[in-house]
Amino acid sequence: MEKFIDHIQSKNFVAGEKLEAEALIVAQKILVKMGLNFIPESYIDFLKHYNGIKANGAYLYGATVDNDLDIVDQNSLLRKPRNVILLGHNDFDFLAYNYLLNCYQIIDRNDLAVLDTYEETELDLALAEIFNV
Amino acid sequence: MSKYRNKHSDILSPKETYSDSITQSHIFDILSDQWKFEKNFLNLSVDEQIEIVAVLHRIANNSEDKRSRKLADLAFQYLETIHKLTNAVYDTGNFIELARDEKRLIRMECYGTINRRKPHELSYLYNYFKKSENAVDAPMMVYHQCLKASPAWRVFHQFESFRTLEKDICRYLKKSRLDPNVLSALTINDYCDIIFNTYKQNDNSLVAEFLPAKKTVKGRRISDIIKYCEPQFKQLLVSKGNDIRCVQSLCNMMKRFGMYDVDRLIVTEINYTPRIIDDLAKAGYDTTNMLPGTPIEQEFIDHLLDINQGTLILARDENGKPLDKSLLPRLQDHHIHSVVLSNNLDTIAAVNYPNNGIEVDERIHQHYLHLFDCLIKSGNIEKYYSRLNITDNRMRVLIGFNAQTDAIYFDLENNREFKRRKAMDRRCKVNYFQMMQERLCNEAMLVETYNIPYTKRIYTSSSKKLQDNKNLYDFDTMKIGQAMSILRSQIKKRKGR
Repeated sequence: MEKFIDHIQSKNFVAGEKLEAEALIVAQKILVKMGLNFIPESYIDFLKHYNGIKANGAYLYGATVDNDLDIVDQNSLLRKPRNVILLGHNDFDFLAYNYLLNCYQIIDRNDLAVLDTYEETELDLALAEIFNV
Repeated sequence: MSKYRNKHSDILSPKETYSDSITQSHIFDILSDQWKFEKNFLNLSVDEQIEIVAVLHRIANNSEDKRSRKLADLAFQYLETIHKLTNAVYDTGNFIELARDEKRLIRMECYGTINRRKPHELSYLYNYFKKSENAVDAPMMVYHQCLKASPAWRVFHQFESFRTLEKDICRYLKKSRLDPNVLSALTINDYCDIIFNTYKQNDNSLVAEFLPAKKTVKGRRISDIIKYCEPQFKQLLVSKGNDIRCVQSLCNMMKRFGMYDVDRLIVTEINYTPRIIDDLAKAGYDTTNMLPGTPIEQEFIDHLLDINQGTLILARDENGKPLDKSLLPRLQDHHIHSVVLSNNLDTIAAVNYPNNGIEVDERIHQHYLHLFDCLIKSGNIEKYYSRLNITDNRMRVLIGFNAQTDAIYFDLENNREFKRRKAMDRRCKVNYFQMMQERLCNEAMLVETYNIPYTKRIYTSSSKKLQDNKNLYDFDTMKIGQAMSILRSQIKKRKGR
């Protein structure tokens, strides 16, 4: 994930407030209550650097009060396939974590077809594919 | 209690039913007066309109018993009224599914970026010929010829943006001394890797930009809207209560960078004020010719923004606070003709044409235009869709539910340059699966000529897509059969060694 952090250093984007432990616990609780699952560890590592970011129509969610970036709001509002937590989106696709297959997926927002699959260790590539500003 | 916990304090309460929603007083008032529905609906804020649409959609899709069927019919009628207001129709039909590669190409063209491919996604042949012991020196002309004839490249070549990259790609291929003969057998992912390597900034890059943001499909469309419709756009936003300084700054961002990111927008003053003149003087600028009330030159505004000194001319309200830009619309790019249905178009490149995109308020985009999306795939052949389609492809901007007063219209395709491009796109049109069939045959020829050993895994990954789709498309089964048998024989050779 360090590569992605380096990649966005030079970019101009808006980030959510610093991640609070309590906010993360609240978000996890609500996601589970919604019938979803916990946020994956590797993504939480990213949230420790940036608690959600947005720029020019691309979003990566966090446990933040910013409605556009709030992982809970987005997972309850947006149409999505089963067994996934949405972690971000752009004009075309979702970034999601499939907790049955334990992998990140790039999912077409229109037909919900899986376009790309990334292992937990390949989070850098998955984040870069969605946050392509 | 943290702000975040506070925000979600009510989320654990039970969800309301649709009958709860319609008895909420403001929604009930609107829905109960059938004759004034249109007028009452248009008087609401966009957020309230979205709420009504969501309730109607839930009622329309909940018709198990007789009573709810009647309600559902009424909800359908109301939704029809809303669709008429937005110049949209509910469309259904059959479609031919796009291949995953084609979907990726549409995205890449739209954003002008290409992502690093994973090593295992690259073909065996590409990796084999990349090795230094297999490198060759060939003239540029040969690379050009081989690239133009390559089946996988011909899929890219359908899009105008990729056609402009050919020179750079050939230069890279020559520099990397890749055997030009292998181009005929490369896959879409191999070419993604080649483009990525041609344009990447450094070895750690995850994304390569092959077009500057303003030259991409999305960027060009946004800047063209301002180029051709700036007065209408300004008038529309001001009529919605926006401060002219916010509107002017947004237009400037759209014009200069081809983007409309309200979060990152710095709203600047239009005219000099005593405070600004004072700030500029303190920052070392010569302010002798700057008089309060006179316009700030656009070049000067752009210069200050470029050197990160935009705050010197930051627009402020009467209390000295930065202007509230929350009324500005948060726009999103919407495809009039859906990307997943682009096989139904004249050419696949048409999905990224200027008139196929509208910049829509994100609430309307996410919670109205895409609310009715439905795709049904049964087996390998039957594909059915339903979707809300905007009927007027001259619509460029939509920031409310009234297509008469909340939209801007302009035909971006009525020019000679576009007509030339369209004619070229038609000439470049290919069928993806036919190209992949050709590629497989070329691969077979190549492995035979160079006597390249194969494994079962390589054979399977090489031919999988075609085997998956052989019933769908008009393939030359004999040709494929021959190609596969050649590839299979290369496995035997390997075993025999």
